[in-house]
Amino acid sequence: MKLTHLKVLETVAGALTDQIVPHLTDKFAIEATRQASAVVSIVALAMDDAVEIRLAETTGLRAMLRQGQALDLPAPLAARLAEGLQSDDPGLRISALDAEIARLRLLLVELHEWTEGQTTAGARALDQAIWRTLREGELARAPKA
Amino acid sequence: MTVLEDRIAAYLAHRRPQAEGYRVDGLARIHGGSSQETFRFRAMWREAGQDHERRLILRRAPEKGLVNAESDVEFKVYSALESTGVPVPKAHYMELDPAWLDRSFFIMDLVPGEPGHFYGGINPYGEMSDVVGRNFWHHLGTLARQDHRALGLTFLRNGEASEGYWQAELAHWENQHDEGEAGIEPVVRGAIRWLRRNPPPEAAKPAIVHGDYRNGNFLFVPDGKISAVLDWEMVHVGDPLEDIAWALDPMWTFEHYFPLEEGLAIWEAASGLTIDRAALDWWRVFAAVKACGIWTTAEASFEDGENKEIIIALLGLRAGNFHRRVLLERMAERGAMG
Repeated sequence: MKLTHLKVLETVAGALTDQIVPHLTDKFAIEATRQASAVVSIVALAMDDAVEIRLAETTGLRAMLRQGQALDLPAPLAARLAEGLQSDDPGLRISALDAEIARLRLLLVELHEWTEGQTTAGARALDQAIWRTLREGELARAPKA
Repeated sequence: MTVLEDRIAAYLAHRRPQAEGYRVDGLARIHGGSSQETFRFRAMWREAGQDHERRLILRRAPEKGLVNAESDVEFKVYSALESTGVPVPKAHYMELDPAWLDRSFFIMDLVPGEPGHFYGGINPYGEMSDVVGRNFWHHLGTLARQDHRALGLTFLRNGEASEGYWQAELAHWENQHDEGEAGIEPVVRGAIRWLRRNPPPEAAKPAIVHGDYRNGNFLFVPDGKISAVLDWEMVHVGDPLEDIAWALDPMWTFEHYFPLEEGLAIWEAASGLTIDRAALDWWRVFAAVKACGIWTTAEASFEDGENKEIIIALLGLRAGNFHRRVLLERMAERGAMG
């Protein structure tokens, strides 16, 4: 059976609390070791679906921006959205996906703020859809440990 | 003595030249406010022909932490509140010169008692929950009753203002996000805009706001008394509802240990103020924005290597997402998602 990163890190996290902590006497060191165990667990459980979560988030953000393009946007904002949605495929590296998400989020914040000042049904619907998209993204990123 | 114990002893001797033979032992790092390094130790000296011994706390500025805490502010607040009924440790010395211990620090009394916590669903107060809860709300109400001007605390953030506290605090935390965010957080920005579009009334009075009044930031003794309210790094002048909302944040809410309505009634009796529930609701949204600002600073300080505390990494990984989900719940309750 192939040893996985998840198994390694889960075992290290357990070892910190089960094998190291019992031998410590300093309260600060005990607490810090327990915290280190929790950090390792969180990171371990964040690896497997890290790309999937980020791809879903970029898809959701792009969908909101495209929905915004269908509205009567101010010309400068419309131009920024059009340009922003023309980006190349960022690839599958976590760092590249995070950079892409950061870029799309900036546009989303601008679009979201614009919708809040509008009374049309389309703008109101987009405002609510953006909030729901943000909720989906945040729930997906919730630490599993 | 260790090197640091030697240096502390040298400093104490410098501050108290009438004493002689200063020695320091038992120096140990303790968890106590993630914005400052906290150590306990014992100091011994001889003065006026008698031997003396005192257990003390050293609070030293970190290289970088959760918030940009100013230890001289915390020291001055401890001194100002000494006779107000709000339990605080006696503060002895403040030192800004990094020559002594590399960074600014202050020294205060070690106060008896245990800190509460909000981990693992465990009630840290046990059978004394009722007494601790009453004291928790009474002390916060007593703090709100204080006149910060009479106590000489106008140097605090917003200390010279007489209104506009919510605007000032919202701007303060928005600035923390601007400075600390690696990538913009649309949830937080949306909540900030909501807060601006739905402003609360002006504060009932200018109050000393602890800024981090919650489970884990006070000590209690076995009979349920609160022996000291700690961790005043974020103290400022503002709307007293800010502290109530913070105490009720879902991550550490005191509602788990003491009935909310009873607690608010105790606060009202101690403060002499009436809580505007709609305004408190606004401050509860603000509390989550503020928390996100703190975690953003934590993440940034760990990411850039200026802070290597494991608790900071843990908070950065876990707490930011928690409070963004709190904000999303608050926005959903207000119909933001249809």
